[in-house]
Amino acid sequence: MIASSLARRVAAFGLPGHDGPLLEQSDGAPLSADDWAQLTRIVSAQRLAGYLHRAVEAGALPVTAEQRDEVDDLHLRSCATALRLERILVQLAALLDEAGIEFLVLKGTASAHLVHEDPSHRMFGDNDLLFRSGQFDEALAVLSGAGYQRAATPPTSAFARRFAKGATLHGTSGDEVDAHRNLVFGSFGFQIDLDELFASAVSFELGGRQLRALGPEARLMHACYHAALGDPVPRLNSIRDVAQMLTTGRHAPERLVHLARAWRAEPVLARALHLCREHLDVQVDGAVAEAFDAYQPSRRERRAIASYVGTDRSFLSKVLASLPYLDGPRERAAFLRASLVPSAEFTESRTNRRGVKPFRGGVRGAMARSRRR
Amino acid sequence: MTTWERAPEALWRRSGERRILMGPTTDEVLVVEGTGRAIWDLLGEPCTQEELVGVLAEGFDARPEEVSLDVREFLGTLRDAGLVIER
Repeated sequence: MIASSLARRVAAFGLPGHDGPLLEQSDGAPLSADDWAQLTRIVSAQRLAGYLHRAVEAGALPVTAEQRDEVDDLHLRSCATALRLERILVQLAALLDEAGIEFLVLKGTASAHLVHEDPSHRMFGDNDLLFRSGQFDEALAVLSGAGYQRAATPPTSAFARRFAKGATLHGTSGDEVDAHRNLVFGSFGFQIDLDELFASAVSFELGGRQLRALGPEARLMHACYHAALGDPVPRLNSIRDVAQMLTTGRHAPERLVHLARAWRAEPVLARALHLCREHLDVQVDGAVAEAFDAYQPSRRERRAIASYVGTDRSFLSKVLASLPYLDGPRERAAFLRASLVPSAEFTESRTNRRGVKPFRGGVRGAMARSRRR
Repeated sequence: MTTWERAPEALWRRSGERRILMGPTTDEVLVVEGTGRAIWDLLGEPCTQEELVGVLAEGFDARPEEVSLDVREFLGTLRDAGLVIER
């Protein structure tokens, strides 16, 4: 277990109060070959190469010459990946600007350039872009023209247009673009003021272009959504983003508290703070902690969180948990129809190798059968 | 007098004593270290070739004429890759 606990300390390295030796009891001996292999596997999978490189450079982790070379090589390759993605982003930005499509840069690139003192610390593996709902189809058309294809067909076009978080697209270079129309699907996503995300956006320069990203409070909210809801086993890189932003203090705490309450995201922030403590041993103080550290989620909120990270994370579970967060019976009915009555295109796309359609009969069939009873 | 500076289109990262550079028309990276790294760092502000030669000669304890050719060649490489511009 040494590798997993050490990986957490790597993920926290460089945060205030987390710049000392990574090994609790160190006689200066480097890790064994097995422990080192496990550590680097976790570091690679969780995109922590920047923090590991920083820790080794600072002398916080004793390494052999070979291990040092491995860290340097991993960091170099991770940086090269980041640069290739940024080159692609700049090219896509030119196409989107020409088409008059507004977008914001999310996560990796934005975090690297706006949150970290050195973008070389923050590794990432894809591009994430947020589009306005009204321009989402046009944005996908521009990306399609640039060679990007959707990874999966949405259940219905209504779902894609009104309720989906977005679409994952694969490019001809093997890269991935996550096109977002919201920051998170379902329950918590329905409460986000999407216009506010664009209204409070900030600019940054990359590759000779002016790009826009979420403002500091919305960016921190997004990091909390991603860390708290994105994976059943929270990703260390995501938790580090939350801790980095909370401790570097570029946000206005009162505004963050306001957004969290307006978007009914209190349980998300509470969970994100808990993850920072539990996984990175980072205790956040101040207004944000005072507001959410002791927050007790309601039954409905616990059910909503569980639909993202609990034992039943099925699409149906998320759909059902989302219903209380929609305004009125019409909206709920529209959501259910869009989510659970699949189009022929969607059903066709899910035909398995034996030619059997998993949705044979499907919900339409189930509803018809229940009417006949 | 001609000055040199990093091109706005240049993308780059710091990795220890190395710098990883990518120009606007390629997805191949250029990894520089030693004198090349020093030049790239100095180009964070516009510099003349003479200024670069002077700083490097002093920093590496070499004669300016020993450094000058390397600087000129390296600047040419960076310019051809779209990483620096002359003004």
